[in-house]
Amino acid sequence: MMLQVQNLWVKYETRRGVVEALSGVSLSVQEGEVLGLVGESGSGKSTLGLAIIRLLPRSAKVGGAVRFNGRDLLQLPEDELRRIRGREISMVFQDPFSSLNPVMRIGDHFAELMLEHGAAKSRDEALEAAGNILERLGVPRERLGDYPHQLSGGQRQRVAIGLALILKPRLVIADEITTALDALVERQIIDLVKEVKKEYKTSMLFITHNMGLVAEVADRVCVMYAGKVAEVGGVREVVEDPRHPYTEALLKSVPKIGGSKRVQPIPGEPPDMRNPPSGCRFHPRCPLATEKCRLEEPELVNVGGRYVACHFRS
Amino acid sequence: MRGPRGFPEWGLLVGGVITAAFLVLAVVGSSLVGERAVSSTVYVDGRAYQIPPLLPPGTTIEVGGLVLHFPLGTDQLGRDVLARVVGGARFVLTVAFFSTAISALLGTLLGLISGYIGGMLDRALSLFMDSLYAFPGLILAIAIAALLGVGVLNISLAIAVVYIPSFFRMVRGVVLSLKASPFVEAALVAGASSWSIVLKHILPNTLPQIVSLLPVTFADAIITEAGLTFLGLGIEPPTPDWGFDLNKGRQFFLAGYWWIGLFPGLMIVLSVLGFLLLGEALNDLLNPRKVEA
Repeated sequence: MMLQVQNLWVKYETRRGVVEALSGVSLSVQEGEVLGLVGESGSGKSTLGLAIIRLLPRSAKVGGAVRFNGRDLLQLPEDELRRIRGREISMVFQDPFSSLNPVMRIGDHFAELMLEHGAAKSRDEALEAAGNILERLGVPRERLGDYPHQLSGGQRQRVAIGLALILKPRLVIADEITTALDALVERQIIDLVKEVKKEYKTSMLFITHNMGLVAEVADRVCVMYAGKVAEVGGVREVVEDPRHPYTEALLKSVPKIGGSKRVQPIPGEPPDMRNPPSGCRFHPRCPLATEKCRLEEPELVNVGGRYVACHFRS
Repeated sequence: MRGPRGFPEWGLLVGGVITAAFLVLAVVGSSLVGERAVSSTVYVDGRAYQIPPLLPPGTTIEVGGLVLHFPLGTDQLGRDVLARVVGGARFVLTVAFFSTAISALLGTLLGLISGYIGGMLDRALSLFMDSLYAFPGLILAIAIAALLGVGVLNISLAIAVVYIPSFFRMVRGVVLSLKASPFVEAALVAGASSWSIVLKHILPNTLPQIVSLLPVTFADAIITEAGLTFLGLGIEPPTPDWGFDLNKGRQFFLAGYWWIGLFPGLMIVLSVLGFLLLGEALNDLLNPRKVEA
């Protein structure tokens, strides 16, 4: 087990009360596996990504454990953590327009990263390696001398992916990497992710709100709702036979080309995390909800090889 | 080649020409006028002649067979006003240069530290800087100049203290907004150290604002320097200096000897105008978003 998140809690104390962004999340990523992390805005999926790499704001209170190759990242001193960041765990962000430094050339981004981690002895060596990886990702080598504003959004995201891969990390956290791109570029980037998956065999935590993308790139999927895991399982089983009512609703809300069924929105809205619903957090919006759902919190239980947190499925 | 268009380009051209002229004057002016700026004695064949004081502009006199022109007249001690005005550029511009450099360096450094580290340190530094900022600049400079005494470095330090808060506040503000920016977060994720984040990612992004503040500070420093020497602080006579001469000229102005004070005063106005034009034009060109917004 390469990455194991155990009972992770994240709380923010604000003036208007305590916000619980994550409430006891457990999940794991195997070597070479892509885990899709799906959920609506505010479900805690991005918080989880940042919590793993310990990049949450100082005001966040974090509990639980994040085991990465046996070591708990939450207990690691800052300088050891810095050696893991970028080298063993890297991250690709949502907005390629602001995740590159506007006054640094593309080549300098690579050179700085590689020299900082001792992966290259000289700038030239770093640029050579950077040029190679960019070409494999479909960006001409000459772009190394350009500034970020001279590149298109798709190229920038390819550069960001290159930066995340160049040190051959064990885990890449991809946080909504196609959300800021238009549909055509999104397709290219997704195809690229699939190629990368084949070629590099890196484990990946693929965070998105788009069930369709998860179905394409992920091996397993973890559906999150209101700071908790609703359902975890192989991507095929979950997409074809969702067990949690929320997963089902999420799948019905994705439009399909040629599909005869109407897209069904999920009624209601995500809960206020200062005051989450009692019992099952999905019960106010769930078509199956009963008195038991309102009172008792469902456990994540094994249902035929996958885990579901619902009173009706256990 | 096309000509300049609109304010930024004209400002850059005119301001640049004026600024360049004054910089040349500061470098070569003193050696050009030599002794004439500080002495009213002329030596011809080993004999000393005194130049008469208070000659009006455009006077030509002959001493010991030597013909001397005084296009701007002579002052109350018989010194050539043109020579003093030209020679005076060095002191004021040197002081303005050093005080701008010192305040920019210290202000930027403290702003980076304060903004990046934050917490109590940031509070304390901000409070200190704000109280400095709230203090009237000239009065603060007078107090420090009186404390430090005469000399280029002393007066430069006195003036620098006045402008440190401007750089501090500006840099701190930029650092605070950049600290939360995605590319800084991306650098953190990539394992960059605090040093490399501050020096490679944040500092270069503050440069446009710093650069456009430099000429404005420089212009302001000229005025503050003139104010200090006007009051007789920080300078030792007979060093030629515009502020000092302006004050002397003021005493003779009502008696009809207007040229002694007018020309140093004009030099102050013109040099400040040149640097301000340059600064405004640079600001428009380097930070275009401010104009669009």
